[in-house]
Amino acid sequence: MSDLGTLYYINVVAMVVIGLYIVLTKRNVLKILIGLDILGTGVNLLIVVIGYIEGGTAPIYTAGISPAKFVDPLPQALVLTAIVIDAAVLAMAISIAIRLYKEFGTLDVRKMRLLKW
Amino acid sequence: MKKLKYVYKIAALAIAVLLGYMLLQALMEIPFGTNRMFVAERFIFEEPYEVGAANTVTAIVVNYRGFDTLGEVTVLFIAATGVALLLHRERGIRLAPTETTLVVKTGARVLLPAVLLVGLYIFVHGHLTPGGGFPGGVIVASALILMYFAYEEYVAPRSMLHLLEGIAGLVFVIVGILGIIVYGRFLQNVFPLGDFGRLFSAGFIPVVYVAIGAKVGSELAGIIHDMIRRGGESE
Amino acid sequence: MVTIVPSLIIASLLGGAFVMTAVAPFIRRITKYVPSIVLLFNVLISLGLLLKSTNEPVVEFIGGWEPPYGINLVAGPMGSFLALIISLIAFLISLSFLKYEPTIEEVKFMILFMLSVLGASGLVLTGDIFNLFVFLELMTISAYALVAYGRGGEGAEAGFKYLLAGSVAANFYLISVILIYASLGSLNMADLVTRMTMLKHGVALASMLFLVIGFATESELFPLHGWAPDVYTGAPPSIAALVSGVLVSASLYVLARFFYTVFAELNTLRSEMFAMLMLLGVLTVLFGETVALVQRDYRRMLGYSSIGAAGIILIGLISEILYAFIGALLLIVAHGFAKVPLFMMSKHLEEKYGTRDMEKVKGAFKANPKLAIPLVAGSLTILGMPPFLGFWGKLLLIYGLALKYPIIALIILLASIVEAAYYLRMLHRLVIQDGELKKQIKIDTVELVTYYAFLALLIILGILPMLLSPYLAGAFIELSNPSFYIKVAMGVMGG
Repeated sequence: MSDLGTLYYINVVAMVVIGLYIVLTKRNVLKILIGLDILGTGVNLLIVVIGYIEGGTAPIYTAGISPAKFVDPLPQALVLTAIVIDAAVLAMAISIAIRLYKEFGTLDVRKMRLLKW
Repeated sequence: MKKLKYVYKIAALAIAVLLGYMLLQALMEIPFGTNRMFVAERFIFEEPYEVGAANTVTAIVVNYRGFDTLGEVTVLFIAATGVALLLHRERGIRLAPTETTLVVKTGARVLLPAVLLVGLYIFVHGHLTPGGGFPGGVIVASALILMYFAYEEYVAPRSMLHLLEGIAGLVFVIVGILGIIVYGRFLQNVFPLGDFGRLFSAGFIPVVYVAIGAKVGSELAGIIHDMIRRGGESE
Repeated sequence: MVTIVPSLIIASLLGGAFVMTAVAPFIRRITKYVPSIVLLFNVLISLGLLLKSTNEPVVEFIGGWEPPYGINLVAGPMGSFLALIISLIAFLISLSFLKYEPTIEEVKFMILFMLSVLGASGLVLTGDIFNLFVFLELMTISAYALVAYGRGGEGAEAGFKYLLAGSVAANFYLISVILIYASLGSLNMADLVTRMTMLKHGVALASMLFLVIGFATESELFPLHGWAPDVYTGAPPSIAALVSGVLVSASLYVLARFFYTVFAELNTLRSEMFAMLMLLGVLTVLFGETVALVQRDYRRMLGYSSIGAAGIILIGLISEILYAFIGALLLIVAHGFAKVPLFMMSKHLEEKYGTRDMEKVKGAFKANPKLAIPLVAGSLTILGMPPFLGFWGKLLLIYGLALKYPIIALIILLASIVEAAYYLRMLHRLVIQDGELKKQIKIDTVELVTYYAFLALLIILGILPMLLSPYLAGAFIELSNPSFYIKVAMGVMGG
């Protein structure tokens, strides 16, 4: 295994762990959402990383580049979907956060206790 | 109470680290940078004959896995609809209206057609160059942000955006249903493949990407509109 | 060429939603009919698929790309049965929309409702693990918005919790998908079955773990159920019913599908997964039913009862015993049907009395026999009383389990007794006990039609459960016999 690969993998794992920790422990709605985004970005990074091939090029037919050198195009297609989904979730989350702020006058989840946490 | 919080944080950290460790263990068994393609081999080598798009990723996104993309467009559609649904209670209040100078206003007016053109270019050429419906749509939507920045009294034509959004979505579905009518399979390509590398090639990809571009553009514009104007509906 | 293909379900829902968006600003009045028409069409399509599923199951290669290259929709007995149930529940719920003179927000509400149903239908039909992720997100993201639309702060809070739990779960599932793709280079379930043996141990373990955590969260299994009671309390009642009857069942299906089909060849991993799921199931049953016992809030009680039911269904689904499996499928139907009128009742309570506290609304339905009948019948279904369908579900499930796992069968029996205690107490409070509340509750005819339609279905199926039996047995064969599924999914069998 190359050092570069290990670095990427550790990076992915670190982002997942940090994101998860933030989601589990932070008390501010926006901070929680930042954690969620870090987690999502970590997963997206993982998708891109596993498609890489040593010395590969972008999978677009261009004069002078043999298709045998292309990197795996499928993860790139998958990550496009995943990124859009992340963006959609974030948009939805922010509008719910706006509603929460309107209803409770705060973004602190400890003070939202109409329902039991 | 304070001690309990501490215990909770340690537990959360332990769970996160444990899962991270499991993930790392798994990743160590997946060699980095080596060729493990199985399905993708066909996508690369057969794609010019089967789909006819110079950009392999586009061929996968729109044709081989077009169903995912239909879902993806729908997810964005859900976000736009959901944001409008949730923020409807606060009508028409412009958030943070800012006084802008003549320079900004003129600049916005000059830039607007250029931004729209770039967006259009990117989604029309999605099957040839990097980019496609999603980035193109985002650029188109950014034109609206520009307008909102420059003119505080600007209101987006929300009903027209809805109409565009709906029609663009229908185009995608109809392209899919054409496949059912002709071949009995959803989203099967019924358009000619054309000359490889030309603008009018790659079957339904340009059609679908224009629809996606229009849809993404109008949806993101709608989200921005709803967040800035808080659901001010121009009914 | 006119054939029934599963993608018509997806295409019609999407087309309906887009048409509604496009025309809503201009001619709003007709939009309220779209969901019912589209969903009725889907009921017919999925019925057609189900009838064909035992002899020549329909499989559709989207875009004409055969697996493993493209995405396939597999309408085997299991998938088409669940698709039928989902469409049926959604259709009957959508009838209650007809009473609206819809505002622009209600149109959006209906659109999101349709798209959530679309996600659930796609989830049970797809044969591709990444496509499954997309449908999962479709199903849950629209549900977040629908839940957050619930009244006041409760709705927003519940929506936010659901969003957090749901997105983390979906990301976990995505990690699992990517680990599998990175090792095997394929995403198709049928193709993966045989390739799975090449999976290295660490990868297999991690992907199984992330999958189970993700979908245990989606299907409200203890201890990952945290979002569920709040969603059931805060969401609009029809959406609470949708989550309980459709979304959770679809997620449970995914656990079963991976357990039976995708991981079929990995013996050690499979036994680990079996132990994990069984443990989760038993804990969920115990937790849900005990906590439901102490609830005073009508909807929270129903919510914990749903959690308990999810545990029971999971145990039956993964037990690998024919009777228990059929019992679990029948319970999915019975529970999904019965919870709709039960949850909708709380709407009448809230609208009339502004509270869901059962102590404060004693005798609320005594003067309203039209509402009391569905309430009583729904409760009896959940308890497993004849002549309702729930009876067969519970009977077969407990009988099947008693053959192999007597202790688990005993636990479920005990849980059912606890369940009976709190449901009967609820009925006593709301229907039998005398209170000061003698007011008539105003009801729409359309809503009554919805309730009684569910009731009629429960009784018809309860008297004639054999109508379903060939398909339920077919579903068991499809799951317990991966080579059958592969044949179907690769298009070797049927069209």
